Amino acid sequence: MPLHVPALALLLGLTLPAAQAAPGAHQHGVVTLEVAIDGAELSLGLRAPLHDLIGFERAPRTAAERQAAADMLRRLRAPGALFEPSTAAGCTLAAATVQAPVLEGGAAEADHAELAADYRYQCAQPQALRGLKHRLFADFRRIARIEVAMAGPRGQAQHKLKRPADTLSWPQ
Amino acid sequence: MSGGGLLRLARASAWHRRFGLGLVLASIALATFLLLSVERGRVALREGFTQSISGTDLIVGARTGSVQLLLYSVFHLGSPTNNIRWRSVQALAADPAVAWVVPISLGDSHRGFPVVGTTPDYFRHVRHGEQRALELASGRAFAGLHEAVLGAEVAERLQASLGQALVLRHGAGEIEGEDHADQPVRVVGMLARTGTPVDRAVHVSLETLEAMHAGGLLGYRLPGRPSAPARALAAEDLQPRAVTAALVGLKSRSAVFGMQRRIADFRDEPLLAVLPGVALDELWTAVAGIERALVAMGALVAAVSLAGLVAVVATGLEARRQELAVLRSVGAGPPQVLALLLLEGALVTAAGALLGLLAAQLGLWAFGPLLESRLGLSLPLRAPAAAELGWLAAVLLAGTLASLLPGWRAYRLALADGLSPGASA
Repeated sequence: MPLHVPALALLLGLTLPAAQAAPGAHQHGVVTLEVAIDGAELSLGLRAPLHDLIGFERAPRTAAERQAAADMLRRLRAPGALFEPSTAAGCTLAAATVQAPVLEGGAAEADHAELAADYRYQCAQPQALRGLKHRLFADFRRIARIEVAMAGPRGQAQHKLKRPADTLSWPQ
Repeated sequence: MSGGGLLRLARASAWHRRFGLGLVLASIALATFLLLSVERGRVALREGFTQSISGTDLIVGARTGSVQLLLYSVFHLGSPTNNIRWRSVQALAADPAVAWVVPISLGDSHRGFPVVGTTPDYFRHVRHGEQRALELASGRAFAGLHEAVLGAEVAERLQASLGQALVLRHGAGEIEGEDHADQPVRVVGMLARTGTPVDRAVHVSLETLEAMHAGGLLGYRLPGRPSAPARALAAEDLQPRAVTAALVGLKSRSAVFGMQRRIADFRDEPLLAVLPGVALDELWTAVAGIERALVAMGALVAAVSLAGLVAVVATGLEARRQELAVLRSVGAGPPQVLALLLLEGALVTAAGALLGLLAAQLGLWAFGPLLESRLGLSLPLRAPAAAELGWLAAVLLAGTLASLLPGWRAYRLALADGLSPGASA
């Protein structure tokens, strides 16, 4: 495609900003959400800087901090309305794992620390799965942006949600 | 005065001014043509990109930017920062979550067309568009050493035939004498057109590339036909040591993000895995500004030709003062004069827009195949898409509104005018 070559060379010369947050990148205010749909299974993976969830990235020191960390972990372990796939799809949560080694005393404290939450839903009508409502912006005021990477039956895509967008939708 | 009579008069008047109105019509047609062509070109370019790769879950390469990795591995643009070791590719293929791995080795060229070293699995797993597999237009996939499968455009430009020998050149092809004249490759297959970068590539096996680069050292010469000793060598010495990137298919889509992380944490060497669809979206975010500039340019041209419409109608108005006054004197009220001018503007715009649409369709019909073969832009003849209808409606609306301005002037003028032509507006 000769047309693409000069056009792209020009574009690339200009710059390639905002590269996808590579695994391991850590940017306060930005959380990544990975959405995979495979058959009847919907998987969600949330990667968030601890700062965005509780305001600090180390083991809690005061009673208030311990309380905040415990509340947040409880909230993410039972996500409830935190994520709501299209109701018509009839998805039920099958598994939820939340890992934040720094909070649980499992890791040496580094400069930055993250939380990884993974959810698996089983959907009765996966073909009715058109989107996802979330309460990340409502529940965590420090989150400014959600970068969504999707892999579904219609291919892969990237979406960016900015506060206060509470719905992620994708073409069926 | 009856409406029918007014219309008849209007028609006669328009016919009287047919030259000026014809120019306006032509400029609106041209603007519409340009708007629609820019829109189609933009959509085709975008589709061409997104259709270039499908069915591949991850692209793995040396650690760099995700868009760069996509560009060099799929579009053969730019150059890789580093190769990845063959051992890493083998480790990847051995992962239980992985269904298939297709390694890709770049760096050689033939008359400006990139040479892609890969495995026969390439033809089985690489998909484009809506999961469409690659098809051979003639011949077969490469099986042995020094065999090549040409993309459709390479085959067409070189007017290649099966059995023909090609001399590949090391590097990007700029340096004379850096060619592999001692080891020509034989064309064994030609692919059907895909409208993707595959059309522009010469595909050979990884072993062929390895043999060409090691050939001088090992001292075997293979004028087109691999001899028996060469085949014996293949297993041990022709094992590739490094490749540029690898396309990976997974058994389950849900594993893709976990796998991406595992590859990023690969211990033996720094690797990067990207989801090609996500990287493509990222690329589009980066070029969105330029896309918008294209659309804005088309809109500007449309605005200029609509300004022309206003100018011509307004100028014509000066010449029509008496005509309008006569109309008034025989009983046409100001609203009727306004309606007349509006109707004229709307009809001229509609005719122009229709003509532009017709020209765009004719242009596609006439030049679509040429554009596809030369630029790789696939522009099928089809009914206007929603966005194009939107542009047409915008032109119509703007044209009608533009004729309101002279209409309003006529509305105000008509009363005092005509009877005392000297009175100024």
